[in-house]
Amino acid sequence: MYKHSLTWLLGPLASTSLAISDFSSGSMLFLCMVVLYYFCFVRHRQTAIFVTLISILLFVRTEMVIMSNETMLTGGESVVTGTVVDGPLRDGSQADMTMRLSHGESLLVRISLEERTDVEKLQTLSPAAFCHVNGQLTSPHPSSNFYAFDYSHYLNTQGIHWILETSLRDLSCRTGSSWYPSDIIKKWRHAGIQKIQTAFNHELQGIAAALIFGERHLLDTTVEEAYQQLGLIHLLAVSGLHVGLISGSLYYLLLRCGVTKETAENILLIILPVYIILAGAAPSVVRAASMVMLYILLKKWKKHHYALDVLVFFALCLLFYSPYYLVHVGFQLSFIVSAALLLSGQVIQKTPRVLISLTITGIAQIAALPIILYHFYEFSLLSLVFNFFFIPFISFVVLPSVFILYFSFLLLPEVAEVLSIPLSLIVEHTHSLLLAAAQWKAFQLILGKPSIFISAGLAFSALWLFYRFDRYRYHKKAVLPGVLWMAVLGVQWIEPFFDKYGYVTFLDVGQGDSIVIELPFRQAVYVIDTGGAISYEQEAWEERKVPYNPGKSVVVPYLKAKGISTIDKLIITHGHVDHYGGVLAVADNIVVRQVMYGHGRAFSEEEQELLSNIHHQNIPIQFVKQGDGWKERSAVFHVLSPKGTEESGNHRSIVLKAAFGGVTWLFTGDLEKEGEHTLLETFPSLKADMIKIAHHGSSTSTTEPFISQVQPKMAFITAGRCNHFGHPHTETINTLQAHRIKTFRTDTQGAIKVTFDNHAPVHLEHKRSANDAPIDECK
Amino acid sequence: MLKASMSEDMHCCVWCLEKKSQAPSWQTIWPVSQDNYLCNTCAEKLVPVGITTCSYCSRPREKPGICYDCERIEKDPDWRGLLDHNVSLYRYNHAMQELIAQWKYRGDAALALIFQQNISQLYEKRYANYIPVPIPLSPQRLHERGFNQAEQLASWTQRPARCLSLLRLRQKQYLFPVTKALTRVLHEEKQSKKTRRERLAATRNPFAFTPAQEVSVNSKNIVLFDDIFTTGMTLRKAAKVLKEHGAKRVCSITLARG
Repeated sequence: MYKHSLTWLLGPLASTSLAISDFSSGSMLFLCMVVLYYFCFVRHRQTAIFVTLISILLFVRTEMVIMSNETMLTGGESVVTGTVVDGPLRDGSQADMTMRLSHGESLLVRISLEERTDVEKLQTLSPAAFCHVNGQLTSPHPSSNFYAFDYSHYLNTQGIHWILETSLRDLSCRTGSSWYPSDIIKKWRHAGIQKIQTAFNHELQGIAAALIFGERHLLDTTVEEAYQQLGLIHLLAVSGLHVGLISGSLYYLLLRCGVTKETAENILLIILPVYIILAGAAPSVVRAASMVMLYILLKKWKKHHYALDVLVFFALCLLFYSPYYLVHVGFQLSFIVSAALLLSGQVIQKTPRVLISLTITGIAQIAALPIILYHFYEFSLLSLVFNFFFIPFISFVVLPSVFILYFSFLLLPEVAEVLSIPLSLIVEHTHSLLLAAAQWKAFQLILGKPSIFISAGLAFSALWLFYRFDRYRYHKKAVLPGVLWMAVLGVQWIEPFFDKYGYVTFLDVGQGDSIVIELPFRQAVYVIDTGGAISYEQEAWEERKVPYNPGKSVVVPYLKAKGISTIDKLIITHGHVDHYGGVLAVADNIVVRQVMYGHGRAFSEEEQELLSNIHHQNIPIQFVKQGDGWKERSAVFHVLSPKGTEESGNHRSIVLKAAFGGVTWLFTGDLEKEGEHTLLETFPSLKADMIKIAHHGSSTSTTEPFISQVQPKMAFITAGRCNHFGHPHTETINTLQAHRIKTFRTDTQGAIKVTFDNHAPVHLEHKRSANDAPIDECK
Repeated sequence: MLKASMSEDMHCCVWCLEKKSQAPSWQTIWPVSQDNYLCNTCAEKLVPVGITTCSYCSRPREKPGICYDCERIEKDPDWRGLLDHNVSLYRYNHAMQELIAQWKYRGDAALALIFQQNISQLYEKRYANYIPVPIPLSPQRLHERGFNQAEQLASWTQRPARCLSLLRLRQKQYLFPVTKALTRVLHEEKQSKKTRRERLAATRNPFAFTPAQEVSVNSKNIVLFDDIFTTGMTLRKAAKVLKEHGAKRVCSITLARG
C-alpha cells in the first residue's frame, strides 16, 4: 500500500483547501485534478472509498472550524476577563499578549507602557495568569495594500478577532491561577525566554531564544531578514534535525547515566510533548517531535511503517486539529521538504559521499521553491552554498553550545559568562557576514508572486525531475525535466516584459506618498516618493526594535511581488520624511538606477543627510528643475517645478507632468498655493486628466483657479487614516466635488491601482471597498 | 488472471521470494511507475542487451551493424529474408538461464509477470500494427509443462482494460489479438539439448499453419514471441511457414539473446 500513502493525502488536501479558500477557482482546479487522478490511477475500490470519506470528513471539519471562528464580542465591551496564554512580548513602549476568554475566544491585548518602571512591572506578568482588563476593543485593520501582509487575516486564523488596547494600570492579574498543563508549560517557556533576555549578551539572545524556545522575538529583525533572504530561515525554526539531535543526545546521555534503554525511551516519550509546547508548538516542532515519538512507539510495538506514511498520517491529524495550518508557511514548508527528503532516501543513499549534503540541500531547495516564491516573491542564488555551510554550523556548533550555555547559566552563571565570550564572537561575525551577503543584490532573484499556473508548473516539473533523477540519475534523461523546470522559472521572470498593460499604483503608506509607475512591457519603472513615518524623540526603553517604516513594509513588498528588481528612476519630490523616509529601505532591497531630487540653492540638515546616504549607496542623484524631462518610448515626462529658487520644503516639490497610457498625469508632490499660482503663471494652458492632489488634500493647496484650469477627470488623494492634520480637508473635497471630479482616497480605499495600455486607462481598482470595516470612526 | 491470483500488495520478489524493501521513493509515487515484481538484487541480475546490437538479431555488439552469423545466414538461399529482424530484451547470462529454468521447467509461471511492462511497451511502441503470434509447443510438451511460455509473453501485448484509459484509445485500435496461427506437428528434442550444427541441419519444419480464427495473416505483419533466441532457427522456421501463407513481414520479440 506504500504507493497510496501520498494518494491518501491528496484528496483531503484538496477538500480542505476548497473549504478554506472559500471555493476559489484554484482550489476547484486542484480538486478536479485530484479526482481525475483518482479515476485514472487508483485501482482499489476500498482505497477510493476510504479517501473519499476522509476528504469529506476534513471538508466538514474545515467548514465547521471556519463557521465557529466567529467573535462573541460586540466591540463595545470595556472589561474582559481571561487567562493569559502567550506573552507578553515587549517591543519598546508596547507589549502584546494573547488572552483566552472564558467562552473560548482569543484576544490580543496590546499594553502601552507609560513609564520606565512599567517595564519591570510587565515582567511579573506571564502565561497562566488570570486577568481583568479594562480597555478599548478595536478590530485589526485588514491589509490596505496589494500583496501586503494581512494582519487581520493572520489573527483570524488564530481565532483572534479583536485587539484590546490598554495600559498596564488597567490590568489586574492573579498569577499562576490556571492549572492547564499547557498553560503551566507556557509559563516555564516565558520564564525561560526572560532568563535568556537577562543572562545572555545581546548577540546570543536572539539565536538562543530561537533555537531553544522557538521564539524569534528577541532576534534582530535585520538579522532575521538576512536569514530569510538567504533561504536559511528554516534553521531558526525548531525542526526535524533539531529535534532529532536533541532527543538523540538526551537518549545517549540517559544511557550513559546507567538508565536502561526502555526507561530512556519512556522518558523521551514524556519529555517530547512537553518540549513541543516549550519550543512554541510551531507546526515544524509538532511534526518533528511527534514523528520521533511515534518512531519510538512503533519500535516498542515491533511494527514497521515507513516514515513517509507516518508523515502523511500526521499531516492529516494536524489538518484535522486546525485546518488553518494549511495556509501556514511553516506547515507547508516543513511537510513538503520532509516528504521530499523521505522520498529521496534511495537517491541520497546512492549518492557519493562528498555530494550527499549538497544533494540534500538541492532537493530541499527545489521542493520548497514554489512555496518560497509564493510567500516571499524572491529567492537567493546563494541559498545552496549558504545552506551547505550553515546547516552543519548551526546544528552542530551553535545549537549544542547555546543549550550548554543555557544550562550553565542556570547552574554556574560565572562559568557561563566566560563560556559565552567565544561563542558570541563567532555568532556576531557570522551574522555580519549574513547581513553583508543579504545585500548582494546580484544573487537575489526577485521573481514576483507566481500565478497558480507557474506554481503548478514548478511543482510538476520538479516532481518529474525528481522521478527522472531517481530512475536515471545523472543520465541525459534527467536533463529534460531540469530544463523544463528552469524554463518555468524563466517564464515567470520574463512575464512582465510581455505584459501589454502598464500600472500606476498609489500605495497606502499612511500619511505620506508613494506612487509606483510601471510602463507597459516593463519598459521602465518609476517610483515617486517612498512614504515614511515621522519619528518622535523617545527614551531608549521606549524605542521599537525596528521603527515602523512604510518603505519597508509596504513599498518593498509591492515591488517584490510585482517582480520589480530595478527602479529606473526614484523621484523624491521634496525633503519631508513622509516622502523620503523609506528611500533607504527601498534601496537596500531593490536596485535603484537613479534618484531624482529638486534643484535648490541650500539644503536643510535632514536633506543633506538623506542625499549623502544615497550617495554612499553609489546611486547617482540628478537634480532637476523646470524644463527638465525625459522620454521613454511613447511616455513623456516633464518637470514643471521647482525653478531652483524656492526654499527647501513643500515649495520645492518636484511637480511632474507625464503623458502615457493615452492620458496626461500631474504628480504634484506637496506643492502649496503659491507654487500652484506660479505654475499657472508659467504654464497658463496647463491641463491634466489625472492628478495627484497636492499635499495629501490639504486646504493650503488645490485652489479653485488651479483645478478650474487643469480640469482633471480623476483625482487621487494620498493620506493616512485618521491623520492628525485632518487631511484631506473638507475644502479640498468640496472643490473637487464642485468640479465633478472622480476622487479616490488611499485613507478610505487603500491602495489604488490604475491599469492602462498604450491607448487608454482600462481599469481602476482599490484594495478596500466601502463595505470593509468602517473608517470614519476617527476620534 | 495471473495477476489477480497474486496477493494484492506484492511484498515479495517473484523470483527469490524474499521480502522486497520497497521504501517510498519518487519512482513508487509516480502514478505510471513500473510494476515492480523484483527486489533490487534480483532486478540487477538481469542485464539488458544494450543499445548497440546487431540490427538483425539483437546480439550485443561494440558498434552498430550486422553480426557475422546474420551475414552468413542472409547469404544462405534457404534461410534468407525469412525473419525480418529480432529484438531481445536481455542478455542470456547465468542468472537469466536460471530464471528461465525456474520459469519453464519448474513451472513458476508467475515469473512471466516480470517482463509484462517491457514487452507491452516494446510492442506498443514498435509493433503496434503487427499480429502477435506465439511459438507453439507440441501437445506433449504442453502437457508436460502445463503452459506455453511464449504464449504468456505474447499475452502481454494485450493490455488489461482500465477504468479510464481514455489516453490509450488511440493506440488500442491497432492492437491485434494473440493469434495461434502455428501448431507444432513434430515432437522433437528440446532445442536447448542440440548443438548449433544439429539445429542448422534439422531441415524438417516442425511447424504447420493453422488457419487462425482470430485474424487472417494474409499480407499482414507478424511479430513472433519466444523466450530465447540462440541461432534463430526455430523462429526462422516459423517465419517460413507464415511467409508461405502470405505474411508480409515477420519479426520477433524474444526475452533473452543467447
